[in-house]
Amino acid sequence: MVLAYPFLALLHAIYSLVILSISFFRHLTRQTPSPLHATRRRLPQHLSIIFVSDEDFEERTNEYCITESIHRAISWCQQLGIPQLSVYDAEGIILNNAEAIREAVVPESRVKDSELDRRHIHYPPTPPLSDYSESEPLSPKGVSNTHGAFLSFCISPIQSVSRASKKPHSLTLNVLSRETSKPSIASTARAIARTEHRNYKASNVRDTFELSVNSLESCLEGKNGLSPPDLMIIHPVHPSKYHRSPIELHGYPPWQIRLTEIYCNRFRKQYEARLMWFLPLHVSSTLLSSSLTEWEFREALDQFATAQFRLGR
Amino acid sequence: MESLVLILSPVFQFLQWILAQLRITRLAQRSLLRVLAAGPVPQHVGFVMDGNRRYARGKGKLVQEGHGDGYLALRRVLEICLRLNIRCVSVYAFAIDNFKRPQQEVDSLMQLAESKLLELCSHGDLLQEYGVKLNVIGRRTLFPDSVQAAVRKAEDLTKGNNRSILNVCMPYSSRDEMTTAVEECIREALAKDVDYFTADDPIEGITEDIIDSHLMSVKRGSPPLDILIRTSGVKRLSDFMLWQCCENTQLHFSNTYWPDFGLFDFVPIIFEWQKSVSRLHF
Repeated sequence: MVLAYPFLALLHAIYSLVILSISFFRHLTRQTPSPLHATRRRLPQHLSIIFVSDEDFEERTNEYCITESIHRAISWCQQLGIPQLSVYDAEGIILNNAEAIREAVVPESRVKDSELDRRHIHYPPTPPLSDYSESEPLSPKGVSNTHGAFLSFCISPIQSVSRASKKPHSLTLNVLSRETSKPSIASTARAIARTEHRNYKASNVRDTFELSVNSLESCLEGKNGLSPPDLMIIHPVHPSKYHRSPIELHGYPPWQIRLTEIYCNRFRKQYEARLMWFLPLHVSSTLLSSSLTEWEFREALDQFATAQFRLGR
Repeated sequence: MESLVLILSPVFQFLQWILAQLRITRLAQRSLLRVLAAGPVPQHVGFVMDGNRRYARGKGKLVQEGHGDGYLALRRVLEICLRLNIRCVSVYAFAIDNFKRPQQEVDSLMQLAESKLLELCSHGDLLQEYGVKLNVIGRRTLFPDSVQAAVRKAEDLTKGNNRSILNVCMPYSSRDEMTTAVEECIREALAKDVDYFTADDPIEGITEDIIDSHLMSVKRGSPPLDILIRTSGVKRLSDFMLWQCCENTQLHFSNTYWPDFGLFDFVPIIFEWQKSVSRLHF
């Protein structure tokens, strides 16, 4: 057993060398993805991006990369006519900057004279909207929104960008956070329990409570819920560090990801961090941090277009 | 070039035969697993066993034979996991949606499940040798009666084992598991009355953690899922353990078809795990 440990270290060293050479080979032989406007067999109707921030970087660097990536993604989605975009990060960085993002995509001067400001906030701290207060008249602690827990803006098409041949689409941007994940399922469960409790009181008949997958689905994905994404891009802000370990989903809402195609470019900037250890942090962080690139976006769309969906058959 | 291959292939086969006779490969495998087990090892690994049919088509075999080879792969991988001291292994054997497949294939899968479950649990076989408790997780009532009986019998045979856990998920879907957990939480909350003295509302007690503890797999003693492996190059989760794998679980999408999945597909995944959890940075 004492001998086993050095052996293990040796195996790991060999393994790292093999991985290094494989990734180098793949880097040389990688294929260029099709152009952004190429005709693809299938386009996602709902795209989702998970941003992974890094604690080695300053907060500003993380914020900057994520916001820049979101602006780029919005513009690509508008150009291609993808109607829904969800952005997620576990630390709530996007949520904290949601107002800034909204102001940038919906310029203040245009808000006044057009219908651009059709944004809806599905987030607990806001006062309950009228349709919620109807559905929850007896809510004891004023828990307003039980389903959403995410922000959602509607961005109108930019005429100059959308091509003349296609009908311009509006884009819905959902800002998700950890609250939209498991806590949202728990709060939906509480809402269902309350409704059920009232029904018991009203009718005084007690049968065993039953819940079907479809009815829970309509609560979580229905009118005020979050629809499931077709394609998910995992984008780390610090790729060369992130790609040293396997991908994770960082707490993305679990109910919605049943059939989601997951994309992550594993070969971006994999070894730079190890070569730049001698640089001061603020220099290396600007060199190493990365926003979403068009290359990644196109590659993700290509992966989605070639995926086969058999749905259990 | 082709003639060279023709001459060499019997030589290779002969060499392989000699190695098999000497059990050298087996010995080498076992010592490799020994060495690996000296480092940190995950607690719970999940497998989506995908690609049996494509494997069979590629080899010109029948679909049933593909599933049979898939079962052999399961035995092989399970033994590797147990030798590494992994505490819990979950496999996605049959999805609720798989009932939509052609009747003939569903029937043969049912037969396979019935016979192989009992084989796995029988005296002196893999599960008894390593002290593994079998759990069949999912909506079992959808199975024909004979399979349900086999499942009960198989679980009874291993219920005394406590070293490791094997979760066979069939007929399973993660949404069904989550819905059942939520349903049970609500039932329990409704059965309790509001305590007016402490103002403890049982409905307020339905939280993320409570739902988690009501999941079928967690109730049967599974630790948190550390690694999820999906074979055959598909990059989706297909309704397997969504709640368990959306946080702190490493995802691996392997290009190998499940019946071909073996030691050399699995060892790199363990390496990656050891690299990410150990502070040593091998």
